[in-house]
Amino acid sequence: MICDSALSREFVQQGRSASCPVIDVHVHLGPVYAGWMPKWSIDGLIDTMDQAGVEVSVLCPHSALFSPDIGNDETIEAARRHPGRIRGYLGINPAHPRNIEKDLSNFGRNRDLLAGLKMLASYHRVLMDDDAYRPAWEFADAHRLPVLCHTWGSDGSEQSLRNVATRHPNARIIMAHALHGLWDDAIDMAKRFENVHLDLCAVLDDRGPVEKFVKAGLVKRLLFGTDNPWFHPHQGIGALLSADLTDEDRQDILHRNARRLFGATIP
Amino acid sequence: MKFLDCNCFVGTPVHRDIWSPVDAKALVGQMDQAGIAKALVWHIAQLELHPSVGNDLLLRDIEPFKDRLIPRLAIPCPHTDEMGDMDEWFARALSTGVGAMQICQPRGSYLVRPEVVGGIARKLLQHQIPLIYSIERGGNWNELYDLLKAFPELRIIISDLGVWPADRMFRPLLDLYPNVMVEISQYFVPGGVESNVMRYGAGRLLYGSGFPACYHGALMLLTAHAKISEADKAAIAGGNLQRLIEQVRP
Ligand SMILES: [Zn+2]
Repeated sequence: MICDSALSREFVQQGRSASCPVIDVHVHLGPVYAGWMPKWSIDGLIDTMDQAGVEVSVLCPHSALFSPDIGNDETIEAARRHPGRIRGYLGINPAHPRNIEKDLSNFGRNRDLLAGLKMLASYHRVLMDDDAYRPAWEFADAHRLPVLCHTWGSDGSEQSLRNVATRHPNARIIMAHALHGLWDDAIDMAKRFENVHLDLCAVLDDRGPVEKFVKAGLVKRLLFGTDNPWFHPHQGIGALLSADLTDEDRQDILHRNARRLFGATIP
Repeated sequence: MKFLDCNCFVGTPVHRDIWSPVDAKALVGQMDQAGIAKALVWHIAQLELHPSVGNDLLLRDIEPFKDRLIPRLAIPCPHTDEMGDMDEWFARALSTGVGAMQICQPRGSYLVRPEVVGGIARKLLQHQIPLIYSIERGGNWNELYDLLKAFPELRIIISDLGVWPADRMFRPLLDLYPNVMVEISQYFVPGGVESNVMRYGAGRLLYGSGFPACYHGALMLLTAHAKISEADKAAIAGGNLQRLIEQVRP
């Protein structure tokens, strides 16, 4: 079923793979915009992770991105409750520079719980190279941190990230959704900048982009992400099993690349 | 587990996209690889050119694969000269072994309102033909709500929900109308399948792939490992669609 490979057989039979412990680099928690998802709690997330053999999720709760009154409390709390499974991205809201300053100054104290920063520029109505982000980019550059950046089509993230990637070569930029739709531009970005990775969140529901990225020689730069609790990891894993890839490619995408990028900052 | 795909299509679209199109032969090849027994299939020209032209292209393309591919015919407008006599049109459609129908809704199409499609709705009810209603390909929730209010017994398969969870939109319809079902090619929110099965039973969800725009394996893996009984999985994977097709009355 699905495809004739050892990894496919393992996932089909067990729903998970002992040889391929998944690392999900793009995860959230909780509600946003008054929507509803059945398993948006931290317990729901851990349950879904267990179901699909996701060993580690790196997350930024919606509250950290959409409610300045709550800020990053849930991020820290989730990682503290599940130190072996969860790491957080510090959510950066450019509309509230004092919060950014405070969160970054506390970063060191929570270093064992945090793996990077998360920016959602177009939702926050700015560009990624906006001045309000400068302290965060300087911090990421100085500490060689991964920064998960929302990128989608022509939302302006491409040019602004080119500026940022040039200015901050030590920051490790993860292009969430890989510029969804502008696949050639995503390839160009990843080829031009060594510090850019492509996250396949919301990419794997289209048939084709992942094969295109792999054919372009970028298999070592691809990361598995789901937007969980929006999308079930089995959907993305099932898509990777159907795609015209080798099991080696799938192992790179599902965990090896993330392991290399995040190093010891994830369990 | 036997998979029947209720949402895939053949034919070359007007625009190039990231996915590569397939004809019936290539579709069956991909189904073999994925492990899909049968599929309810439509043609992209039904949407992009005209229902009748698309129907003809579809029937010609799938003719050699009748044991695997079941036609999903598009219904032309009943108020112009395109359909001809409605009884005759439906008789011809039924003779093709049609498994479901759809109303394609590009710019030039007619409104799916009770005033417009009343005659069609009565024929669908008479023959127990499921109507596939695609949200992403031109559908609209308010229109669907009005249609079901007027024809509450219709067998409607809501399809192509859009990837952002649409529970708030479709669940009121599942609560109100027992013949409404949901095709899950774009429904992969964690816990979604389980939560719907607990609330409505497994008879309301149908496996669909969205192929060739999406991969077969995505919802296969999710269905196979949903936390529901094996019987419920089998119903969603293919049993429900099999039953619906068998219940179409000549
Ligand atoms: Zn996200």
